[in-house]
Amino acid sequence: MTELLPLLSAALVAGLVGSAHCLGMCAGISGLFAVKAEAASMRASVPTAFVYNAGRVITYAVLGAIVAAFGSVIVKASPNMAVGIRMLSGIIIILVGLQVAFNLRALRIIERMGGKLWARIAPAAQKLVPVTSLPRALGLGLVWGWLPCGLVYSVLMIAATSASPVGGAATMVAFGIGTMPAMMLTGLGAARVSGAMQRRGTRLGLGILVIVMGLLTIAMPLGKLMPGGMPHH
Amino acid sequence: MSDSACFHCALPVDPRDTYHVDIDGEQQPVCCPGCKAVAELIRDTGMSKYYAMREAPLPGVGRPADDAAEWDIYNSDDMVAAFAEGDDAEAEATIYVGGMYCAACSWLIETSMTRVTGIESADINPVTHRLRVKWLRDKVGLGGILATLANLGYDPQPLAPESAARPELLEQRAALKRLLVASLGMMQVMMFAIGLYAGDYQGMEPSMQRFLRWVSFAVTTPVVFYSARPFFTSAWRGLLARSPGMDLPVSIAVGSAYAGSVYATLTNAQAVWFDSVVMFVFFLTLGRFLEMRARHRSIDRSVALSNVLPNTVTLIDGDSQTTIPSNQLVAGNIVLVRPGESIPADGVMVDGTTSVDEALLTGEATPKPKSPGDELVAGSINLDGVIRLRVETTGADTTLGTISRLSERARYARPAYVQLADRVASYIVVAILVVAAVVGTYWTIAAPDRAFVITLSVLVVTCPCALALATPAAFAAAGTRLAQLRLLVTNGNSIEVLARSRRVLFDKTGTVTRGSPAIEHVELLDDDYDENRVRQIAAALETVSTHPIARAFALADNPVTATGQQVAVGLGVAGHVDGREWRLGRAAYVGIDGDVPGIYLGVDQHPVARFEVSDQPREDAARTIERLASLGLSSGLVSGDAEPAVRATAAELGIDSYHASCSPEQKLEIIRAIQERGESVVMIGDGINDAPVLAGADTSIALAHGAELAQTSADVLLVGESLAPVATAVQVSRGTLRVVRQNLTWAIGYNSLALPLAALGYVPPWAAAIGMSASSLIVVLNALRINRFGAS
Repeated sequence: MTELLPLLSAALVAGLVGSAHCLGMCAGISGLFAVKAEAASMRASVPTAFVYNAGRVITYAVLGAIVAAFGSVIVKASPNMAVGIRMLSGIIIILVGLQVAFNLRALRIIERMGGKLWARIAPAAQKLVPVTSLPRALGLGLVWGWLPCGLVYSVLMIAATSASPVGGAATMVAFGIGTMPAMMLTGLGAARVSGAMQRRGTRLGLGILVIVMGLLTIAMPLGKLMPGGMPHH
Repeated sequence: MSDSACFHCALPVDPRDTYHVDIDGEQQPVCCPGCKAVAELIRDTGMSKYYAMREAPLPGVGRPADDAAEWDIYNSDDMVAAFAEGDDAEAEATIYVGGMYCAACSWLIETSMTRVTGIESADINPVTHRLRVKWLRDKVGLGGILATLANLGYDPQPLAPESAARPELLEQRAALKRLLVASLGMMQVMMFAIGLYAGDYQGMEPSMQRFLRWVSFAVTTPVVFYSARPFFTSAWRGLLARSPGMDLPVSIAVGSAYAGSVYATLTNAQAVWFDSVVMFVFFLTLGRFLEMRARHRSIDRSVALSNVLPNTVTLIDGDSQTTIPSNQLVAGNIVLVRPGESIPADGVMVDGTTSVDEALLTGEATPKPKSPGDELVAGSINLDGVIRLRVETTGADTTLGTISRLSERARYARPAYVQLADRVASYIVVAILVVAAVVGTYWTIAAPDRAFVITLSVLVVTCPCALALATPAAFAAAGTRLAQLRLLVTNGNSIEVLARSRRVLFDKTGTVTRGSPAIEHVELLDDDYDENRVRQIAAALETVSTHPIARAFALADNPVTATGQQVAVGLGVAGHVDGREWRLGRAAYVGIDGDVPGIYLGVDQHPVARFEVSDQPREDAARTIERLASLGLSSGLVSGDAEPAVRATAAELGIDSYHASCSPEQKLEIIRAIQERGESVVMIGDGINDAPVLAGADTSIALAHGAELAQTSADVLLVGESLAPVATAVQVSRGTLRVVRQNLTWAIGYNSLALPLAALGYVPPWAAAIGMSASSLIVVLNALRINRFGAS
């Protein structure tokens, strides 16, 4: 449980920062919902947006559970790998932290592969548009989670190293929650939030926080190997 | 937009790694597979027009997008001085962006703004639709920036600095930042806390525990010193003023929990409370933020009011036309107003015919026809014709400015209730500190190791936030709701009186009637004068009167002039015409015995003519009186008019009790008589002629428009031509008192239940923080319900 904390924490921050990009990319999705200028319809669209985002997070959780299940198979196959996997996890988190801090766009190759996968899923999305009901919003959210996105893939790699399907799902849920503020708070200043997230200082600070989580992930298994760090029960 | 920008999200495209998407037969560059996927989805679902729409003018934005010349004027030094702050090199302005409809718009605007060479920063608030932009003056002009916005399809309007730098908006921005820091901190620290608690049960390496504590320490520090800072400063101010507020126990709790946790982290002691600290601060900040939003909601409206005035006006000077910033207008200027433009200042129409929409000021949706000589009010929209306007008052002195100012004042009206709550809160705070000290002392003796935690819980759980918020939050929400109904509350106590009163007294003319009387019939009592002549003399006398009846007599081109006119309140008006003393008014005033109906014109105590003037009741007067009756309020009519007219109106409206031929003194006596029976009275009048009567009532409502608004001293101003809001106001006021009672019951009940539990040590600090926060949030959310009261 406690070992997962840095992973969840890193995923949450990655989600927060990453959602600034989401906002630009997902600009069109408000076009897929009913386009209305009225404030009243904005209020009415809150449940829709919530259900849609919940769908997205569910997909992330499922993806997280799947990749983590694969991860755990490897760990179980060779218990000696456990420490190695942890270190790998820490390294990936540090890479994500660097990505966050310096706005890098790594993992473009996987993104492209995801694009091919998306091509198979897209027809399903088309059937759900326009979004006229809550179930449709949920459906679109479920599909939207598959959208090729470098950041999602980075965090999925973290989830894979959590070594249990529950942990993988939890990591992705933390990421999804992190993306919620920008995606949900349209009325309360999403642009301001994402603007603040795009600022160099913020990115740097949060990136460093993620990197610390990565270092912590690496440090924990090492701590276990040290005499002072033995479990005390 | 340049070729190197992503067609979908407008971020720069890496030229070595570009994707393409086929939209309407054209290959458009996109930055990443994600954007490609979304763009294709949008295309394949037949939504490609989204791309066309975001660049084209939006429906309802009537401005041609490519009319760049129109914006040129904003490049002049005059305009920059009027709308921007800064120096020769760099300037900063706030622009209201009309036509925004979603968060994507704000993103689009910010992105395209930052692409304009010379723009240093662009920051848009999607809620208020305000863009704060900073630019280098040698690279780009204000006009260029506005043209860019217009080309995107929006309707930009630069705002003058005084209306832009509204302290409320700065306050809100700062509060939002604090809330963000607190929420980010809370999410992180809570996660570590779960780990620490799990570790307590399942066991954890001490190194890991130490590490989590240190990280919590690091994350909690900015939450305490940044997010919670207003609590500390306010507590300190309260101490200096010797009236400790609720922020004092909050500060002591946050400060000591933080200090205790830091000490525990340094000494590796048993427990830390960083989670309780961040949670406490987060929920307090959230509660404050919500309460502030409730207070500020009415501002959005007054901001909207200031946005309706045009920024530039066409000034006519002889044959020449010049465009000047509207804040340079002065009284006496003649301006040209085209159809669709809004009237820039209060004034008189000198040329043209048109109809105007005054909905913003009166709530009246039907356009009003206007011809030369008619008054026009700033903020109304010129609908049909090209007109010329002679400016009389500008800026803050206009009707519009007065309404904005009064709405502002309404927000600061503090009912006696709230003042009482503040005083009581002060005593409660002292009581809490004493109780906490007693509990602390007891536990120090009984179980020293638990003393700190228990005292902390007591401090947190008893924080009288809910109690202190219960009343002001409800009244703030009520003020906002009433302002939406076009009732501006200038005296906070009115809400309570409105809720409790069972008696409403209406003035007749201009209150239950439209106040636009007309002469129905002229009866000549002296053969020396013809009808034309008596009308002219009457009109000349009435020029000084502000009584609504005077409007019935007004003549456009009157050859007769009167001198030395004097108004005898409640009787009539007197003055000299051709050296003789003429009087116009009630029968007794011109020397006729008995109270006979009609308005008489007389000379030297000898009646000359009798006028029959009628005034139609307002359309919704009968309905309003019926609604008031169903709410248990009995209506009465008090009028200075003669008995028959008052009786007729009373019968028509279904009012049982009426008093006719009342002087202001008599009206006041009627009110006193009711008050002596122990009832409170709501008086509704026209605000000018009834001022002393209104002042005598427990609360007063004035129907006011135009220049009268500013002179009226009633407790509540009703803007517009409809009486219906009065009945709704009673419902809202009753609802408000109900909410206040619920809130107080809840707050007191919660505190008296939680305190003993905490004092006995059954409540850990984190549970105390949740309990306290939930209790204040419930109070604020309950108050926000008032915003929906009285909705049909």
